[in-house]
Amino acid sequence: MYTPGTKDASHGSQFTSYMALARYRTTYTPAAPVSTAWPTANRAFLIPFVVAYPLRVQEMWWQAGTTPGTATVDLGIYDDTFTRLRSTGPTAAVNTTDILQPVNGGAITPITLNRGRYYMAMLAAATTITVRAVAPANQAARFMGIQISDIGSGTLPATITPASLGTVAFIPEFGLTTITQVL
Amino acid sequence: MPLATRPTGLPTPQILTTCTPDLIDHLDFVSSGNPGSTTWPVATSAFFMPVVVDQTRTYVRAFWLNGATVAGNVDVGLYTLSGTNTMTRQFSTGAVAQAGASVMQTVTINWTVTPGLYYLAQSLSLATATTWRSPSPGVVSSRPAGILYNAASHPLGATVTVGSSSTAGMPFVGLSELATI
Repeated sequence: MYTPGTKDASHGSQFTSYMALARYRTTYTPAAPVSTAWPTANRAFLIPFVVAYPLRVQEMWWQAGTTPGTATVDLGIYDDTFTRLRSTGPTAAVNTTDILQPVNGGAITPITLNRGRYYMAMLAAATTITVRAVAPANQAARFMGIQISDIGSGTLPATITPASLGTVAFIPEFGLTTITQVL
Repeated sequence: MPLATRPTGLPTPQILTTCTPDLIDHLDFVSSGNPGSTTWPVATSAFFMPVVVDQTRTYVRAFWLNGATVAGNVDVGLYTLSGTNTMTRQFSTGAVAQAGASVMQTVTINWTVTPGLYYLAQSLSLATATTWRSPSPGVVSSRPAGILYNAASHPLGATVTVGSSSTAGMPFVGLSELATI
């Protein structure tokens, strides 16, 4: 019954927050992502994903909305104990509509993710940043295991404390990749 | 190779739900329309959805998505299948009053589950209660996904005789290793 590689985050060389959605897309009305203001300053969103075989991750990215502004965005990877494995560090956005960011590349120190459970994290320092995002109804995002953490700063911490998504209906578009030519 | 010794394949997510690739692949292919708030098809009926646990995991929350109208009780359980149609209960929440329209409802549990193939089950006591359910691909299309059914099992019984689903759609039910969800 199990078919490896189908609709899971280990398929292919790209891992995105929307792969979590692809896996659960019958849980919500599949509306297209739209430009959306970051809901709360210094809040991180944690998207779970699983890896079936060792993969070397080299870069992270996020999709800007209409007015991304210039506040900082930090992207990172956590293991299933919520220990940070890698991050880009806070990087100032470039105020250009609808582009992939960071503009000069989201390279991280390459890391091989072995078989296991992980979280990709995105943290924005201001609500003036707009990103492309979806807003699942009926707490469907919570059902997918997405968590939040209010950090209090623009830097992803070494260990992060997850909190319930609650009624927040917001999933930003971001991801990580095994190649370095995405940005 | 027995599931218990399978060294590769997807690790079981910390949030284990009925929306697994095993079910989603098939239902995505055949389904049309969007999920939504839907009345429980038959009072006290139960759905059984296959899930795989890759290594021993401890779940501390059971959860599901309520629809626009809450009523009666909900029971969530984990079963193993023997033979062709006998489900044996391993764990269950027992009957819990459905509460909170259009939100996810959670129940505290403490289930340590060893590797294997299981069936995540849900039953509701009233047909006026609503849950968030997948679109309706049709009764026949649910069967190849491995969804099994019993017309009267609430609260979920210790052993349940199941058959092919006579109702379309799939409930959204899950288990969490995390207390925060």
